[in-house]
Amino acid sequence: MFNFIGDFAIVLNYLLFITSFLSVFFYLKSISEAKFLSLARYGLYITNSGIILISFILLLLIINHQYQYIYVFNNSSNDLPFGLLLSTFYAGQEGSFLFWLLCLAVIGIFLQNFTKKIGLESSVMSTFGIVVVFLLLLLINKSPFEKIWSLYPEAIRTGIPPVGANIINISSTQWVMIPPDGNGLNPLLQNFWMQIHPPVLFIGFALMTVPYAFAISSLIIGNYKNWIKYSLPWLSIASFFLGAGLVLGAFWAYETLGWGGYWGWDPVENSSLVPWIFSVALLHTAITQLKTGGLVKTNLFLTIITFSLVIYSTFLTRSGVLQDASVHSFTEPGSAVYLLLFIFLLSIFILGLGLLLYRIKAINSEKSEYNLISKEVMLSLGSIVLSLSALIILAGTSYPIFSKSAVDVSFYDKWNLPLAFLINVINGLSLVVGWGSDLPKIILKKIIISLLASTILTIISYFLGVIHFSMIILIWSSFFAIFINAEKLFRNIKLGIINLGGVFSHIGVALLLIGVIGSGKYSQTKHIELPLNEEKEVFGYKFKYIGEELFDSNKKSYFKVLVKNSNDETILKPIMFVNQMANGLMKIPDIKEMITKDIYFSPIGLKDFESNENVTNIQLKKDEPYQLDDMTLIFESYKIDMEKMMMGGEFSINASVKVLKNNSSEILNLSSTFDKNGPKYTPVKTSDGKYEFVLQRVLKDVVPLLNLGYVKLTDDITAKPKEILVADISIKPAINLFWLGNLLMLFGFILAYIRRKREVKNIRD
Amino acid sequence: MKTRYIIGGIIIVVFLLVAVFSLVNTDIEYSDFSKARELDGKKIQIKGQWVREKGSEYNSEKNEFIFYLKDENNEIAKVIFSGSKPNNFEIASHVVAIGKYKDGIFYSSEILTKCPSKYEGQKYTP
Repeated sequence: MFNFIGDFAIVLNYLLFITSFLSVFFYLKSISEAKFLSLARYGLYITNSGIILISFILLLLIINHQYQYIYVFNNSSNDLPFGLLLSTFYAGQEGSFLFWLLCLAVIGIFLQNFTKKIGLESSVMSTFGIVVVFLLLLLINKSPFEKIWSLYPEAIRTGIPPVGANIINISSTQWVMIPPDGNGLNPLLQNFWMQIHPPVLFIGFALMTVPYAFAISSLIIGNYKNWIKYSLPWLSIASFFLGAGLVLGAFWAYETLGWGGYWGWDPVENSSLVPWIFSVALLHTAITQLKTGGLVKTNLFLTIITFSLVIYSTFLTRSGVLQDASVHSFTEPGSAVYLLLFIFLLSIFILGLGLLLYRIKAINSEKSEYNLISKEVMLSLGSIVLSLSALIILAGTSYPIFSKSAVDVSFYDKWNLPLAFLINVINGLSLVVGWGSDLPKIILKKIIISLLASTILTIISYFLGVIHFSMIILIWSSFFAIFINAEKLFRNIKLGIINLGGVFSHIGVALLLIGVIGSGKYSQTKHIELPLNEEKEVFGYKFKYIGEELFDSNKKSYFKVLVKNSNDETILKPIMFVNQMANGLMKIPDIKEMITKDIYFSPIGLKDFESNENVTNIQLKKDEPYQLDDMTLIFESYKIDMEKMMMGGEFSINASVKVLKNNSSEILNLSSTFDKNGPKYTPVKTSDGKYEFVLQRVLKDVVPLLNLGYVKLTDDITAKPKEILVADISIKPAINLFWLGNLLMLFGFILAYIRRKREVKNIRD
Repeated sequence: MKTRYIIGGIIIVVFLLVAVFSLVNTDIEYSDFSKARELDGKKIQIKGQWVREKGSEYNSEKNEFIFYLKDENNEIAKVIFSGSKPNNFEIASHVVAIGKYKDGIFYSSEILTKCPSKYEGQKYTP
């Protein structure tokens, strides 16, 4: 059954490509001739239910561990807990395309219902459908339903299968054994946040299609007025999801991945940040159009740019063009997908921009005369600054494609710092100026209290350590924005919280920028070694490593670290474990969270004295004396097991070294074995027990060379405790303001969504 | 009305020019060891493979991770990374080291490990 449904899904994929294509075609026809509408709808219904069915099939295959499918084999394994098992649905490229499609199918159901009521179904759903067509085409090329033997023909066998083996018969003589277990999920992804962060981001991506569809629809039918109010609730919720996805990713990076921070200006992070910033800029100019009827072209343009950048983001992260510039992993998806994504991107962009240029003469914005000091101008300025910030990030992120280089992260910090200042100032001012015009004198009167209060707080923060000029300016502007918004919040709370989404978001952004100042600029890190049961003081806290404890059925262990200051005591449990599959060490930090700051404890290693890491390397020439402290070493002879070395198996190298010291001499016989996993050294001590040598390798040159590693074993070392926990301890001031700011900002988006949705409902009724 | 657009346009163009200028200034070139020697002391990035046979070591007192990197021209150089062994170092299909080359040693401030994504490269053995 499971073999059959995968093949069925592939066939269905082709069929849906055709039905979705037909649906777009008939929707376009139905703009002029209504009789095609029902055909278009059938196409849409079939496509949507088909996509849901395909997704259900993949889910079934994953839950039932059907490892004859490459996708399931490569991304999941038997030991994954149910939640993570579900997350393997979108862990790989193929599945993530399908997940995106699934989101689009569900959104499509609501969108069709919505547009039917407002009479825009044909033009909106045809544009929406184009995106679905492209993704279905991508899914045909990158199907999660490929079987193992299509990639590995050598898996096909003939003859009599072993008794009890789990096999699939491909033909009467050929069979394939189903792997008993899968390769599993990347250990870095085996985390609670893997179940939330990617889907939220994908929902945001998918939702961004809707404003685009409204913009194109307005250009098709030539009505540039109404689309913005229909688009606004969708845009608000899309910005919410995209923003939430980014914040969740930041939290994940900070809390468990141990990347040390929440944002690293990594291309993958940047590529989703850029469309989000544009969508936020668009939210502001859209409000202007709603209120004054102006900025129509700007809004159409920004909508097209925002969605194009969503696709561009996918292109950057899925086509492999940024392979070398990111900590995220990509696979080479193959040239077909690369090309498809590129065509997809170009089509979306050219369709939008082409239509806009074609209609540009016909679009007439309301031309109202307004003063320089007015809400319109402030909102426009805000959008311009946001767009500039996005452009800077876009330029830095795309740079590696066009040159054989990458940008230093300092580039982003440098440019966004002044922009953040401007954003804060405009953030505050935009609230106190009215629509139309306002007199500078009145404005000054409105902001004078905020100006004073923020200056006082800035002086206080100077004494708390914010001493750099750029940071003083930035923190001052943040306080300024917060005060103005807070004042507005108190004054207008009686209007109902629903109408104050903007205020919440504005306070959130200003708060999170203060959080960035504290946790970014004024974060300190110290590298320490904690010998077992020995107390060390860092940043005014006493740290004591009190031992290791096993958990997760003895597969992993955490280190217990006691953190004390005068009035409290906590035990931190950073984790370190060897992941079998990855054959590597996984490190998970632990954080002591306090209101004003975090203490971030990231484990680096455990040093026990058997595997001493303070090895010094030296090189001896054969028969040539080498002076090491008060000893003379002579490399006398060596032997390499050539035959075994040629065979590629395990082989050993032996060497003897004469040690002369104070008229006494001894011979050290050193030996090491090598196999494909690397070398295995056998340390040899000198007779006085003061030095320990290992043979690293022998270079067969004209004069053979011997590489030795040695460790000095001084007396006090034996007195040292066995275990030393090595770690980086960071202090992150004001980090909670960063998270709180993000939450407030996202809360504001939700309020905006509810408000804009109500407005649309009121118009309709 | 028109002058406003012109002023706006000029601001954006100037901004972008300055941005591009600073972009070119802060860029970190992809390079190899031979080029790195020429560029003595400039921050660059080198893509290569960890020379497994030569092992790796971590000096916890100095917080330095030391290994040997083979660049794409098969030249091998010692890399001293100021930090601990990066996650996924052992399984990385290749490594990108960002830093400066000096006196035969590459002093790296940042290391990116590229994994065969989700182990897709892992061979299925029937």
